[in-house]
Amino acid sequence: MHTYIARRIAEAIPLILLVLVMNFLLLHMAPGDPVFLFIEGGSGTTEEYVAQVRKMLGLDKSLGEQLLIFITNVFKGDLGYSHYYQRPVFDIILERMPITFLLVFLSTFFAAVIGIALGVFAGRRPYSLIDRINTVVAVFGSAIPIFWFGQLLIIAFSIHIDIFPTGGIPTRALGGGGFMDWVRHLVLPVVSLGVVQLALVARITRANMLEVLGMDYIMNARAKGLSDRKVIFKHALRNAILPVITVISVNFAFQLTGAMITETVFSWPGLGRMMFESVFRRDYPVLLGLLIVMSVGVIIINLITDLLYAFLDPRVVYD
Amino acid sequence: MPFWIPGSYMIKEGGIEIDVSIPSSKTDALREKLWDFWKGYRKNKGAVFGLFFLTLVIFTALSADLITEFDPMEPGVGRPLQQPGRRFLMGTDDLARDIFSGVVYGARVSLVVGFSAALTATLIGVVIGSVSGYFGGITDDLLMKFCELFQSMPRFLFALVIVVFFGNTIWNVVVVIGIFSWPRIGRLVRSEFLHLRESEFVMAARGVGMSNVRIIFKQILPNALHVVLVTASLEVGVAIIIEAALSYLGAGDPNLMSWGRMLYNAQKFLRTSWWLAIFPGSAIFFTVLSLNLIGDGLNDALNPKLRRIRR
Repeated sequence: MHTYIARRIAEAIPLILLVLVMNFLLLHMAPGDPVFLFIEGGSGTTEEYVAQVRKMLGLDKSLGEQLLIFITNVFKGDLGYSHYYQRPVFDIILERMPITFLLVFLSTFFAAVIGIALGVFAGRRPYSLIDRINTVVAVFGSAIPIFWFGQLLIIAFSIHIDIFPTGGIPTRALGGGGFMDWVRHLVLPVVSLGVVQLALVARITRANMLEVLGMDYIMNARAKGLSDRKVIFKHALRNAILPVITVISVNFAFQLTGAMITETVFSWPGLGRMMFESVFRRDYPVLLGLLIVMSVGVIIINLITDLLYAFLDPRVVYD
Repeated sequence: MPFWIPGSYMIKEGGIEIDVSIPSSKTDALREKLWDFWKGYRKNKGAVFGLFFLTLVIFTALSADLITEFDPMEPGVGRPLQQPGRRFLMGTDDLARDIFSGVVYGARVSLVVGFSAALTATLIGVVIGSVSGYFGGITDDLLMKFCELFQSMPRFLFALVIVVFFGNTIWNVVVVIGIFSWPRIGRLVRSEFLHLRESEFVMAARGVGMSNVRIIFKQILPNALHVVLVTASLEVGVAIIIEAALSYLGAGDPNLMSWGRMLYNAQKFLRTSWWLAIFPGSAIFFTVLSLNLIGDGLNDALNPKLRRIRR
C-alpha cells in the first residue's frame, strides 16, 4: 500500500512539471514583448530604460534559465504580481479560493446525492416512471450550457417568482450573513452548476446498478432471504458506486471551470469573477496564475481519488 | 426494401411477369450498406429528430441572408428592447438589433466552430491513438503520458487564456478547442487498436508484407471507424458549448454575432427582457441536444453489440 502511494505521487510530479513548462511556453509565445506589460511604451521611454527593466525582470537571461527561475518561483508560491490589484497573484487567488470551492463542493455533493438516488431507483426498476425521469434528466443535462441554465433559473426563481436572490453573497452590512441567508444565495448557483454532473452521475449509477443486479452474488443475497432494501443498498450499491467516484474525479476540472462560469452568471465573488474581470483588463499575470493553480489542483485531486479508490476497492492491485 | 437496392425483383404487368432484377456492383454494395445503416439508425426516434433538427440548423446557417432582412450587427433597426412581435420575431436587444437575425447568423459561428474543432480533435486523436495502440511499448507509454498531460489541464481555462493572449478570432477559437479536445478520441482509438492489432486479418496483412502505415490506415482504421464517428459527433456538441462559453465571457470573435455573445448581452437585461436570453440559449441547447442524439443513433446503428449490452 505504501509503495503504491509513493509510486502514484512520484508519477504526479513529472506531470506537474510538464504542466508548468507548458504554462511557461504559453507565456513566452504570447505576442508582444513582455517588458511592456510592466512599462508604458510611450514616446518618453528610452532604450536604456527598457533594457534596465528587462534586466531587472530577468528577461535578458536565456530561455532555460528563465524556465528554471519560473519553476522555482512557482514552488515558492510566487505567481507574479498583478498591477491592477497591486498585490501578488498568489495572495489574491488564495483569498478567493474558499468561496469558489464552496460552490464546487456543494454542487458536487448535490449532484452525487441526487444523482446516485435517481440512478439507484431507475436501475432498480427499468422503464418505470422514475427511470423515465432519469432519462429526461440525462438528456437535458448533457446538452444544456450551464450559464444559460443559470440565466433561466434567475428568470424563473428570482424575477418571475421572487424567492431567491439574483446573485452575489450575503452582505453583513445589510443585516445578512445568517445561515438561511447563505442557503438562499447558494441554491440557484449550486443547482445550475450541479445539473450537468447530476445527469452524468445518474446515468452511470443506473447502468452500474443494472449490471451489478444481474450478478450471482446478488441472487445469492436474495436467496438468503435478505430484504430488497438490504440487497440494493448493502450489496449492490457498494459495488455500483465505485465508478461514480472516478467520474466525479475525472470531471473535477470541468466542475472547476464550470464554477467559474457560474460565478459570472450569479455575480459570485470568487475566482471565476476574477477571471472574467481579468479577461477584460488583459491582466496576464492573474490569468496565468489561475491557470497554474487550477492545473496543479486538478492533478492533485486526481491523485487523491486514485488513492481513495485503492482504499475503497480491495480489488485494486497496489504494486 | 426499396426498389433501388440490388437483388432480384419480379413485377406483374398485365398478367405477364417481368424480371426487373438489379445487378449489384460496387456502388450498389455501398448503397446497400447505407440502407442497412439507415435501418439501424431510424429505430432510434431521438436520433431521427436530431438529424432533422441539425439539418434545419445547417440549412438556416447556409441561407441566413435569405431568411432575415436585418444585419445581426446593425443597431437601431427598431426600438430598443422591443418584445417579440410580428416585425421582430424574437424581439430586439438594447441597441435595437434584431434577435432573430442574431440567432440565424449565430448558427454559422456555432456550426463552423463545432465541426472544425471536432475535425481537428479527431485528426490529432486518430493519429496519436492509432500510433500508440498499434506500436505499443515505449511509444505507447510516452504518448499516453502526453495524453494525460492534456487531460489534466482545464480545457476551458486554457482556451480562454490562449484566446486572450493570441487574439480572439474565430480560427484561434477553433484551433484551441481542437488541440485540447483530442484525448478522448485518442484514448478510444488506442484501445480499439490494442485489441484489433492482434486479429488475424492484421497478421495476414503483415504476412504479405504490407507497410505499417498501410495496415494502420487501410486495415485497422476502417474497423475502428464507428468509435471515431460516435465520439466525433459528441465532440461537435462540446465544442459548440465551449465556443458559446468563451463568447459568453466576452472572449469570442468581436466581428461576429454568436449565440454565446447574445447570452452575454442578455445577462444585463434578465430582469426586464427575457427574450434576449431564451432564444439564443434554446438554439444552443437544441443544436447540442441534436448532436448528442445523433451520436446515440450512430452508436446504435454502427455498433449493435454495444446496444445489446446497454439494454
